[in-house]
Order: sequence, then structure tokens, then C-alpha cells
Amino acid sequence: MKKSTIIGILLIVIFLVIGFFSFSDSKIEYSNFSKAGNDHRTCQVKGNWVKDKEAKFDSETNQFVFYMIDENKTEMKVILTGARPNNFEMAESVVAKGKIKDGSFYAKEVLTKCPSKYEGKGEDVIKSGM
Amino acid sequence: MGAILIQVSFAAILISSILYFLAGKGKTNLIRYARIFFYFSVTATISSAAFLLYLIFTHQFQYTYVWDYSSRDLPVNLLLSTFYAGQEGSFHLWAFLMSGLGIFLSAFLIKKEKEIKNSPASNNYEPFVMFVFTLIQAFLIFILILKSPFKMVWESFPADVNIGYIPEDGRGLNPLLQNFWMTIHPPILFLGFTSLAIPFSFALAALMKNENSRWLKLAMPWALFSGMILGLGIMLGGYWAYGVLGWGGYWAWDPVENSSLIPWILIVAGIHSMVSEEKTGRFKRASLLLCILAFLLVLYSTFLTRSGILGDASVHSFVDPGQEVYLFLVVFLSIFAIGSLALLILRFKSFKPKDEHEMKISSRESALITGTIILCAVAFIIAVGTSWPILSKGTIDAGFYNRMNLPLAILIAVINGMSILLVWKKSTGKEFLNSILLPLGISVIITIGLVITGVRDIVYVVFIAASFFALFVNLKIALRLISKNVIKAGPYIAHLGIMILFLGIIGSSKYSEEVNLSLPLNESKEALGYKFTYKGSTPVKGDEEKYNFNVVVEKDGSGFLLQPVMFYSEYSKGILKNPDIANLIYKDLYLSPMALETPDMYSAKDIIKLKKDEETDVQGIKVKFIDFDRSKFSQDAMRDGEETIIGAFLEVTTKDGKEQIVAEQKMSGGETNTIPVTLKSSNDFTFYLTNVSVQGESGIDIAIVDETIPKIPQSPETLVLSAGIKPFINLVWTGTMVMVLGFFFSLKNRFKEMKRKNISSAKIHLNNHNGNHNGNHNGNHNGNHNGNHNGNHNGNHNDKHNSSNGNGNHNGNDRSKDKKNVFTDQLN
Repeated sequence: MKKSTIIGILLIVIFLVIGFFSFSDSKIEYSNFSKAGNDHRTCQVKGNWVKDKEAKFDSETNQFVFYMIDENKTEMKVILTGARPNNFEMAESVVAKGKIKDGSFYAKEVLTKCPSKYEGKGEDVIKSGM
Repeated sequence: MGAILIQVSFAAILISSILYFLAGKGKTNLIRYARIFFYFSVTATISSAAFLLYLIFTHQFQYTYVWDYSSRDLPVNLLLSTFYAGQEGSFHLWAFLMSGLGIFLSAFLIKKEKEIKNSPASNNYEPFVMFVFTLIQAFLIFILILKSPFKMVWESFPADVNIGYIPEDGRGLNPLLQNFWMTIHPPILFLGFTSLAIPFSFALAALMKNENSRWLKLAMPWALFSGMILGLGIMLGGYWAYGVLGWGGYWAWDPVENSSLIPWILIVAGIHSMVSEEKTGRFKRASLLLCILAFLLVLYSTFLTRSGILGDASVHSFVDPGQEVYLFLVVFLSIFAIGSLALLILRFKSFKPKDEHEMKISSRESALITGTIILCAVAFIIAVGTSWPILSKGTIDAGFYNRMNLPLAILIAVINGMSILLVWKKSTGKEFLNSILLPLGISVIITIGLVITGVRDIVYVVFIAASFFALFVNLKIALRLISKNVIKAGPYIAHLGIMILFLGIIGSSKYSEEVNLSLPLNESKEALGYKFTYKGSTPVKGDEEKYNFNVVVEKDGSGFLLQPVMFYSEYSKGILKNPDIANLIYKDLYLSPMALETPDMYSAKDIIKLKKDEETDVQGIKVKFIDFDRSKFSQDAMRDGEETIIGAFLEVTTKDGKEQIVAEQKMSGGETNTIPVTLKSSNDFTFYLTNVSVQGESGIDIAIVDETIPKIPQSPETLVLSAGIKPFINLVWTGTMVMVLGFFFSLKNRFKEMKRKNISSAKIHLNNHNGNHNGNHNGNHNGNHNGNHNGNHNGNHNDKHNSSNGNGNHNGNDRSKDKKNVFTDQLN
């Protein structure tokens, strides 16, 4: 084979290997609180926030604290670095991305899934007519 | 009426497509009819679009699409943009743009056919290019038949709406979309996507005709056009996100963003591969493949973003279009993918380069190809990461893209710089070193300067150095060419733009600083070298429902006002926020509002819990919770997020006697606000209903504040926000604009060449080798044939001339041979 082809293939192999490892490290899988406890990587947990417990933003520490129940009915305290997420109260479900530390879930991101208001429904047609 | 127009258009385009195909297969007389049907389809599509616009502007809300996305209160430009606000509309925009571009394409092809009148008909590209193009359009219009923008409200919601019902007003446009960018970002982006169908059509036509030399020159201007427009469209989206959405960035590696970036990278790779092909006659198959992939990835991107398959993973996710469209998109993509790849495999051997000479590693050609391969690698990385959620339940951390792309970007910068210099390689080492010295030197100096001022991370140091290097190399040549003939400087200006963009990206992301600030009213706080003072909120002029949160920012005596905005949106039933940004040239100061904390009227220790019928002694009085007051309460309203009030009957016993009061809580859109209440007999106590529990044992939380006790001063209204410094972010926008300008000049150059070549096809050019060499070299050829061609020149002229031009060195003496070359080439 030509020298350039050999070099080329070698580089591609190296690239793929590095890529694969970087990729595996970046995967954020859907998980639940019990699994997340054993996982040192960042993972995402889907669930609902507990409406009867506190959901407050502390401006001193810049943390928003609330409680969440995951799909296995495990409840955990979630500490988000940042402000109360948009539409938090409205959220049907939330997805928290982060890691568990000292018994609480430290989230770097919380996504809120709102009832899909992007599409109008039949009742809305009538309402807007009034 | 609109639906009929679409159906007519579909029938016409289908017939047109078949006729074009037959014309290409030999029945050349059919081409006239093919064109007629095509123009007919174009007219129908444009009319349909005009009709939809008419419906929108005349507020015909009985049409579901008009009702769903527009409303009476929208200004003209936003009303216009509701055309493409929804699924059906955006497909319609696509079909409309295809029609528009199709007219230009058709004219272009017809003109080209006239210019090669004397050559065999097999050289005519019009039939097959138009066949592919019209076939694509047919698929698009079919989607419009499946999902029509012209359905009536009673057809869409048969259960709820009676036939003939006309809503008074529409739902309106999502407030996130109600701004200037909505009017320009989607159309430009879509124009970019649509235009990728053209190089694709040329590539397939070339494969079908088994013709491998003309397609390149014909397709190149269109590829450049796509690169220019799509690149611009993508960055406009980024600027929109940065300026309006408030998370402080312009690129989130969101699947929708990524899937628009991948086709762009592929067409840029394609352009470079085509440049290489033009010069050397090699890499034909690579160029074809890239043009094909660029468009296939547009289809894939449409599928990703419309099918809802990425639902959880993307902030852009649209509504599920329904099973039929989902399936159809898959079919659409599959047919074109399988078809084009099959053609490519079929013609694989016949497109092999005639000239199999070994490519020198340190030649411009190999640099170009390496660069192209790296671009493909970047596209591949992004594609894998973006598609991951389809294969597994999970997403990819955005850091993955940055980590993987950074070393590749460094390589791109280095190779770009080197490749330009390699042109000048006449003799090997010495001249090359001379030309490299100045740019390298300046970059090293700047980089050392930056390291001294704090840039420590080795990878970034290398990246910055590489970017500066490529920047100066390109700048040097660009400046030289600008004084002579600016349009020749196209590629160098484009590369210059990219390097500026790279530097802007590093500056604004890696070296940005961000802090969270809590600003109590009128209390100054220092951060990031500035003094911030929150001065209260004022309604926004012109839109009374929105509020400016005024922050005065001061430094060294001078100051300015920043006004981030927060408001409650009925449409989204939530609080929406907009940042405000101070453009300080070398950096941006970015304020993103997070929340407004209002002072607590009571504190946690004032709260007591009471079950039904429970009475307790507190603060010298007795309080008993009797029952809930549901007289103003509606369960439906609460579920729908509408306003409703729940109350609690309390019996309060003070030294003055017993009294019954109702403490109330107002719920609206998920937000709960307590309404303070006092006794009729005295104002000594204020009662706040803070919590209501109806599960299990009914109970309430009540805060009771004894007003006679002097209170600890409360913190006033406090604005919580995130303040950030983004160094050199203006380079991001500047870099993109410069790059677009570079594309534009290249495009202009190509058209000029085409015109010149055709006007004087009978004349013999002495100076105009331009048409035969790729655009990049023009500056070197004009008027001075001084041997600045590398050995790869041979590939451009057909093989019979190789023997006479053994070493490809055109110096003055070779002029007679040049004439022949030019002449014969014209006939190709």
C-alpha cells in the first residue's frame, strides 16, 4: 500500500478510538435515583416534582431546591445551581441532569416538560371565538 | 381553493418530472412540454403560497392553520412570518422556495444548453437535473397534500367545532417567536436548505449521464450559493438565541441546530473537493458523494426535527406531525438515499480519474483533501452525537462536541494556512519557509502575549496560534488581491472570516466569566469589574404586559442602563425572560434576569398548621380552622391554569371576642399567591393562608403576624440575575459576515468567468486562463505566467495535451500551446 494510505488509515483508527471513548464518557442515560446513586457519571432522571414539599430559591447560595419523585417512586431532594426553571409550577414532568452527592441530587440542569401548548386544541377554538 | 392549487401543482410537477426524464433518455422533443408543465406547477405553487398569505392577512380564522398561529394583534412582519410558523407552513415555504429557485435553475440550464449548441446532446444537463429537482419537489408537494395548511377548523376538530364556525381571533404566535429574527432567520435558513437540492440534482444527473467533467463547473456556483446562504441562516439563529433567549449562548449543540450544521459542513467539504477535482481531475467521486450527502442530510434533518423522535432531547422539538407524514418522510429519505448511492456505486468505476499519479504529500492538493476529510470527520462526529437519542434512551452531553471538534478545528486552521502557502511552492524548502515566516512570526508573538495575559490551557494556546496563523496567511493574500480585483479574493476572505469566527468562539466561551447576582432595590453590588444597581421595574413602552427590570451599570465614572425583561405569558402560561446586552466592542456585558424576589410578608416561624376543626393557642389568641371555602373555587380552572380562589374559614378568638374570617389563596397558572386578611375588630393581626392540603386529613398552614411587635426590617424587592462578560463575541458575528462576504465574492467570480468564457468562446484568450483553473489561482495567473503552478496542473487539460505540457509550466513561451488548450477546453 502507498505510504500515505497507511498513515491515513492509522490516523482514522486513532481518531475512532479517541472518539469512541470520548463518546462513552459523554453519554447521559436516563436513569432513576437508585441507579444514579451508584453512577459517578452525569445522568438524567425523569420524574415529577413534589408539590407539597418546598420549592425555593436561595439567593445567597444561588440554588433552587425542590423535591422530586422518579419513575420508581423514589423521592429525593434536588439542588439546582441556578434559578427556578421556567414554567416550573406548570411542569407536568421534569428531567434533572446531574449527580447524586451526600444523599441529594445535585443538578446542573433541570428541564421542564410542559403540557404541550404548542398546538391548539378543539376547545381552544371555541374559547377564542368568545 | 388552496388545496386544489396544491393538487394541481402536484399533478403538473409529476408529469413534468416524467417528461424531463424521458427527454434525458433521448426523446429531446419532449423537453418543451416538460418545461411547460414545470412552469405550470411553479405558478400553482406560488399561487397557493399567495393564497395562504392572503388568508393570514385577512384573518380568516376558520382555517385551522391561520387560527393556530396568527392573531389580530400581530404587526405586519410577524403576521407574514406566521406563514412558516407551523409544520404545514414550513413545508409550504420549502415548496415555494423550490419553485422560485427552480425558475432560476431552469433558466440557467437552458442558457447553458444554448451555449454548447455544437456539441452532442449528451452534454445537455437540463433534462436530468430538472428530473431530479422536480422529483424532489413532487415529494414535497405530496407532503402538503398529506398535511394541508388549508384545513378548516371543523375538519381538524370535528368533535368540538361545528361546520361553518368562524373563530373571532386566532391563538396567536408563540411569544418566543415574536421578534425581528423570526422574519429573517427561517426564510434564509430554508433557502439554504432548498438550494442544496441543486448541487444534488447536478450530481445525480452527472451519474445518470455517466458524464464526469461538465457537472462540476455547472454545479459549483450553486454549491457556493448554498454555502453562503445556509451559513448565514445558521448564524442568524445563533444570534437570535443569544440576544433574545437569555441563556447566554449562541450555540447549544441542540439536535435541531446540529442537523442544520451538518449539511453546511458537507457542502463546504464538497466545494473544496470540487476545487481539487477542478485542478487535478481526481476526487470526482468524493465531490459527487459530498454533494449528494449534503442534501440527504437535509432530508434527514427534516425527519429528525419533525418526526418528534427527539422529543425529549431538544428544546426545538415540534409537535408530532402524525404517523403518515412520519412514514412518508422516512420513505422520501430512503428513496433518495438508496437511489443516489446505487447510482454512485454503479458508476464507481467509470468515474475513476484518468490520471493516477501519486499525490505528493506536501502539495496543495493533499492539503485540500486532508482538509476535506477533516471536515467530514467533524460532520460525522456531530451526526453520531445528534442521532444517538434515536438509538438509545439518552442524550449526549454538549461537552462531547466541543472536546472532539477542538483538535479538528486546530488541524483545519493549520492545514488551511499551509495549503495556501503551498501554492507558492516553486522550489521546495526555502521559498516555502520564507513565505511562512511572517504569518507564523506574528502569530507566535500574539500568542505569547496572550499567554502572558492569562491564557494557560495548552490546547487553547495551540488553537489560538493556529487560527492567527491561518488568519494572517489569508489576510496577506486577500489584501493583495483586493487591490487588484476583489472578487478573486473570495476564498481568502472566506477563510479569514472562519478564523475570526474561531477566535471569537474561543474568546467568548472559554474566557467568559459569569456570576449570579442578587440585587436588592437601590443597593449597589460590585462584580466583574462593574457596579450594578437595581432601580426597579417599569412597563415596556408599547407592550404594557412586559416589564423592564432596570439595572444601572457603572465603571470608572461612566454608566449605562441595561433593561432585561420578564413577563407572564398567557400563551405559554409561564414567565418568559429576555436578556439585555451591552456591546462594549471588545466584549459584551450580558444580563440575564432569573427571578424577582419580593419581600416576605411573614417568616417561617409565623406559620402554624391546623387540621379541620383543630384549634390552637398562638401569640395570645385562639385560632380554629373550620372548613374550606370553595365558593370561589373551580377544580377545572385550577387544572387549566386559570385563576381561581380557595379559602379557609377561621374562627379567631381574641380578647375582644370571637370572629369568623376567611383567609384566601389565589391560584393562577400554577402560581399561588396568598391574600392577607385582618380581623374586622382589630388590625393587630394579619393572617396569611400559605398552604392548603386536601389529601388525607384536610389541613392548612396559616401564617399569623402580630403587627404590634416591631418587625425586623425586611429585605426589599430583589432582582436575581446572571451577569456575564463575553470577550470578543463580536468576532463571532464579524467572522461569519466576513465569511459570507467571501462566499459572495467567489460566487460573483464564478459567474463572471462563466459569462466571459461564453462570450468569447470563439476568441482565443491569452490572459484568461481563469476559466480553466480554479478560482483560487486566478490572482496568480492574471498577466503573469511565472510558473506558479504546481505539478498538478496537468489534470485540468485533457490528456492529449499532457505530452506537450509535460511539466505544466506555463511561461511566456508556451503561449501557442496555451491557445490550443483554451480552445479545446471550451468544447468540453
